[in-house]
Amino acid sequence: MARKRSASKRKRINPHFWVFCEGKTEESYISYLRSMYRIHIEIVTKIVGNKITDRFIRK
Amino acid sequence: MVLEIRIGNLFSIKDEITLDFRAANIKSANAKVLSDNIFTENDTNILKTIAIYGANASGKSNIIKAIRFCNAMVFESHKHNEDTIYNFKPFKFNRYDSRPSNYFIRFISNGIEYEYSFSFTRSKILTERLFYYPKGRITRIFTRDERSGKTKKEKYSFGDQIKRPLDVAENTSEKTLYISRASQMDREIAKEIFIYFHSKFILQYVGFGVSTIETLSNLSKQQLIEALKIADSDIVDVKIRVLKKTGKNISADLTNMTLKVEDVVRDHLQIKTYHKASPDIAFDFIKEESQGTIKLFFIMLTILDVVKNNKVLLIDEIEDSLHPKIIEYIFNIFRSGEKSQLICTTHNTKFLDLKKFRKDQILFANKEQDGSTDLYSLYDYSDFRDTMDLEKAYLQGRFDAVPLINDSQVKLKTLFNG
Repeated sequence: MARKRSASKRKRINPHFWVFCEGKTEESYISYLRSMYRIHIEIVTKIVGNKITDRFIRK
Repeated sequence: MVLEIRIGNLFSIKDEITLDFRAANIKSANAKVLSDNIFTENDTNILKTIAIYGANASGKSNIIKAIRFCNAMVFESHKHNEDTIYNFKPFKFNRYDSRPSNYFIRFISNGIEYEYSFSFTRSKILTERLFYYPKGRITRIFTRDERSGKTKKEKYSFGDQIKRPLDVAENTSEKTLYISRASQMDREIAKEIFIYFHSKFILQYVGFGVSTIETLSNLSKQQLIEALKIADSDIVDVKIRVLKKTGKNISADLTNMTLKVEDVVRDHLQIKTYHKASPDIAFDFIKEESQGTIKLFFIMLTILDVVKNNKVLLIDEIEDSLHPKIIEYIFNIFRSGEKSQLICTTHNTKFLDLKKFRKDQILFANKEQDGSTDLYSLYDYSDFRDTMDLEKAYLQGRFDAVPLINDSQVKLKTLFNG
């Protein structure tokens, strides 16, 4: 056999980022940025009310 | 069997991509359970199946198209003449359309490993090389470089395996691959390479001639019916006959303005199927069976031949008209085979499961910013762990290779309301 399989390309999986924002238009901004810059972002919309505290974000 | 394919500057492929069938050294518990997903040849583990994932227009089908084109060049280029323009396009941007395209394949035929490659433009062959490993050592059979001189002697160099090799070279135009011409001129190694590309590397499961379908089905009719039964088909018998059908062949000659009408007799395939509920009633296969059954029939006919004779099969979009359970059944047939191999593209994320495939069997085709296709395997990700949910991670875009859809409600409303 000539040679072994080429070594792994040592790629890294895309990281997870969490974005907290207010209002519904932010979802559209992110969608737009995603297709504009071809960034793989999954948008999971959750409405948690209007009290987003530091404690909630840490959680 | 195929070990490695490299393709550069064909269709959406810009920089060279590699499909590597040589199994990686994976020692995970999942990989150990999947020992049937590989086979061993000359102490090397080789993958039986490779599945390519990617968004629409990422270039998955172009990879299949490129392999089909280059393999067909080997068994068809001896028919080319001075007016031939090859039916492919190089990568269109960044001035790649003026650069040569290239193809490399490492494969084993009759126990001997070969390395064959050629580079070409749309109108001519530029380089061609064939090496082999008869006793484990690389040995040149021939090399060709059309740019290295004017005479055939300057362009070619040979080992001692092909008889009177320069005679073949003198009869090989720039439109033709040497290997293709040498096979036509009855040279032994060239004939073996030709047969490998023509009969061992199956480029698709449709498009057989009438006689091939009749021969294949006669050879493995009972197996075919059994294979269909396993796939939950209620077909209990198949009868295939070649009928002669008369017709007219009309041809117009514009140089002398004549119209020629000839009576011709053509072969016509008649396939009748019989079902469990009423085995006496015949069904016209093409007109009365579903698209899924027709596909399953032809795919099974091919797969039985491929698996039985340790061939290689290419399938683009394997899930087309087939249920995921049937696709899993097809993968399992290859798993149970000895040394047959399958290269397929799919969108079915059900198989992104490390209990079904090893990391090196899963490839991702990704469309880059410049529109070109990149290809890499899950094995290339050093930080992906077996405990992670692979299907979820893929759909989240953590390996790229998924479409970026801007389908926010605001955007969708503007689509209809302006």
